[in-house]
Amino acid sequence: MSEEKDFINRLKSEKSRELAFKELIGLYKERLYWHIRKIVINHDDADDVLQNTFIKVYRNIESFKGESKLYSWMYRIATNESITFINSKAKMNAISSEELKNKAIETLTSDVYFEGDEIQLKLQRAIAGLPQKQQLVFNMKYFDDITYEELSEILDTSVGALKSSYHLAVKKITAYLTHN
Amino acid sequence: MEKDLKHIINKSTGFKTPPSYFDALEDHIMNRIKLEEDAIKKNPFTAPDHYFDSLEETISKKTTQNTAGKPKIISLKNHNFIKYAASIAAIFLLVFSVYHFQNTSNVNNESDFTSVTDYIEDNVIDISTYDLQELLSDEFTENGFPESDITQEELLEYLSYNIDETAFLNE
Repeated sequence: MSEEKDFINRLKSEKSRELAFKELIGLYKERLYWHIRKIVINHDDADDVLQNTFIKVYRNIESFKGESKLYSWMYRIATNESITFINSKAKMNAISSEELKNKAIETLTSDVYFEGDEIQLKLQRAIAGLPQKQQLVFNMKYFDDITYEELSEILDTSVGALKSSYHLAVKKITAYLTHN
Repeated sequence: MEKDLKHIINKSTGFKTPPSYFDALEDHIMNRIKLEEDAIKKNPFTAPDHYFDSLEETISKKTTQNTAGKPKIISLKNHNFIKYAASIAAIFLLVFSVYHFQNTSNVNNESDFTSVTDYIEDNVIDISTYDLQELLSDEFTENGFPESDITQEELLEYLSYNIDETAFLNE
């Protein structure tokens, strides 16, 4: 914990900020990228959102009070940036965010940065059919093994509600994959 | 339930990235941050060449060395011009008040109806009764008598009530 405090102090100090921030990107780039990629589906969009996330972290590090873990705070920013990105892209195309996500999934078959098989494509379709909160909980718990306590910090939701969301999501996805 | 799902599908999403995407990411993001920070901080205005080199001298010339041409400050206390100005203002006020009062009185007198009619009769209307008759008869011969909806019965009834027959016969 004190290590994290020291690291945050380095990030806040103008003198050491640049070096510390480079270190921060190195530590979290892959985890945040995959978290974002699962929400926005497309690599180029994920790259845009990841860069915006780190820029937002850089500009707001001064106001980070350390009430939650740095990692949770960054995940929260990445999640919000991804959702904002999807909503504004959907608005620009005059469609709903659900329609946009379904379209993105349908283009995966011709996407050079997707090497999944038929069952993985089905899984993406099944996830897209869930309510947004359940999508987030499922992705973070199933693929990233984030604990309920950490999820609670990131999504600002009680552990009980998260457990219920995850249980429901798994049930719906299993049913979808079994019947399709 | 989760175990059932894991039997169906492993934990891989099937997504991948371009080769070496993560390798240069730190530098790429840091460069973008620097560019954006510089763009925000950069001052878009410029000054002429060597503007600041001679600035002290220019200001100095206009202030300390130019005391001879210093504008005079005139104290209000030491001069009588306030008295003069007040006197002139009072005279103007008096003249304006008197003039205004007289004009208002004239309007009241002139509005007298008798005076107006006398004036018109004496000075404006210089038309004889004969001229007036000629004017009217010309008007009637040019345009004819104005048409009316009055019936003959209505006309006779009007005349019987309004015409003094004795006077009419004497005429």
